[in-house]
Amino acid sequence: MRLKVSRRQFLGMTASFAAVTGLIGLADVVPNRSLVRPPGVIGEDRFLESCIRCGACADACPVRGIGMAHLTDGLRNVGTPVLTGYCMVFRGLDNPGPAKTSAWRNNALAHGQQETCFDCISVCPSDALRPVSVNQLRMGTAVVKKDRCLWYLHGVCGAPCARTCPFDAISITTGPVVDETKCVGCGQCDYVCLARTIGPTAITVEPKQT
Amino acid sequence: MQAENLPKPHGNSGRPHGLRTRIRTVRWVSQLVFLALFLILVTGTVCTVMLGRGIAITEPFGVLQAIVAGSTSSQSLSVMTGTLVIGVIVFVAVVVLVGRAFCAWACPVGTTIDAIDTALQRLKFKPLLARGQRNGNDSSSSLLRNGMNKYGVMAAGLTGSALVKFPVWCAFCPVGTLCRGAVAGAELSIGAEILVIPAVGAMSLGEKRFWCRYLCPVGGALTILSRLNPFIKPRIRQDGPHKDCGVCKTICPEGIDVCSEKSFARCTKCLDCYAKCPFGAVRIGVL
Repeated sequence: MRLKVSRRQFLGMTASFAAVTGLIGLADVVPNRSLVRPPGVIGEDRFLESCIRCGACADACPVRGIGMAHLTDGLRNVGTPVLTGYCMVFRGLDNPGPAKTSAWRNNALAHGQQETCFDCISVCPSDALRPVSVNQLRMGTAVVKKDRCLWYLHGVCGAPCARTCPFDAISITTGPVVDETKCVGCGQCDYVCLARTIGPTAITVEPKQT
Repeated sequence: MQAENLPKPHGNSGRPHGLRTRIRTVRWVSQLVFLALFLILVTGTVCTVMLGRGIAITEPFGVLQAIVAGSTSSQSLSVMTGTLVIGVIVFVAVVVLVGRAFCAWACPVGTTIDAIDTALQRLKFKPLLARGQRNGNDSSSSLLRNGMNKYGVMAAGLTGSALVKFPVWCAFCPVGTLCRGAVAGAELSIGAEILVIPAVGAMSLGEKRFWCRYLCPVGGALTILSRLNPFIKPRIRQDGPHKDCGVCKTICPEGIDVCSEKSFARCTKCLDCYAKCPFGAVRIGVL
């Protein structure tokens, strides 16, 4: 086995190397936004190092809650998973709602177990998403938009967000208030928000501060 | 071209029989089946194919970048090394058996580029770089059209990953982009997707399969490993009539001069030379 490389081939190879490396040098030209990540991201820097942008987590998510970051999110984020929908956290909480959550809670009380999903973590080939316990889980934090929340605006809402939250992180005082120590950022409140029926949602998950 | 010297296609010897004329159709079917498999049916993407729960085959170049990007924790490193070893074993096994056949028969980007090339051909568009050339393309003497360039891209992917501390090639790899676009469904139209796939497709205006031929680092990795592949290689019949007409070199998506090539590491097993040699002089040595 002999490898013959002509001078031009070598020049071409070097030129391609330089061109692609130059492009890579632009990695931080577009600002890299903070994003809401799927479960199992411990340390954003470590995550970005080890995520191979393969999309297996998004493909594995039973509720299609994971999307892929785009160029507009910054070059470092291109192809990384983002929680675009909701995370059901526990099996059985697909298509969430107040009735679903109370039925799940009763079932969990009767059987004494709450089986977590985390399919995304189990498929991750490069240890970018790591096994977590529910206590460690923090994808982001829910934030109520008072200018859109029907409770704050008109006082007419059954607060499905509070009744759906599997972690009891939303309480009603003058309106829905998020307890940041309990909220894991699963986005189920967002999914059921009543404001969605007439316009944009009034509760969104914001990225955790790193 | 010395047209009067050439016999009619499939002249006296090597008359086309059923299989030979249908090879392209069979290959289209294979490409579309794999496209459906990778994009829709199988859990995972080309980058990571899931075989049931917890068993993954991962494309080694991606994991290699992640390791180079410098995950310092030993736990991550051991998980990734495990993934890398499985990926490399599977890749080497497949490549030893069928060489670079992935490129011509399965790769979703190859399929997309082939579709673009076919459309251009139907529109009677002659690729820009192939114009004004007669007996094939002497790609060894060109800076731009140069099979070694993919190793430059590959080295840049690894060096770049180490520099910017993330697997940077994976973010822009056309294969990954196409698969992620399918995973992310309706979001296909935003971001990198609208840049990467059209850019790779546009290269076909220059020459068919330009991307696969000169730049794709995955193809490069397969070419290196393909030296281990002893099976399914084009052979020239020594008995029948045979002229150094250069048709095989022109039609070969990798620009291989089948009549004089020795190694065939670049061969993607598309079998076009077998199907289209005007003398029927190419046979495929399975073993």
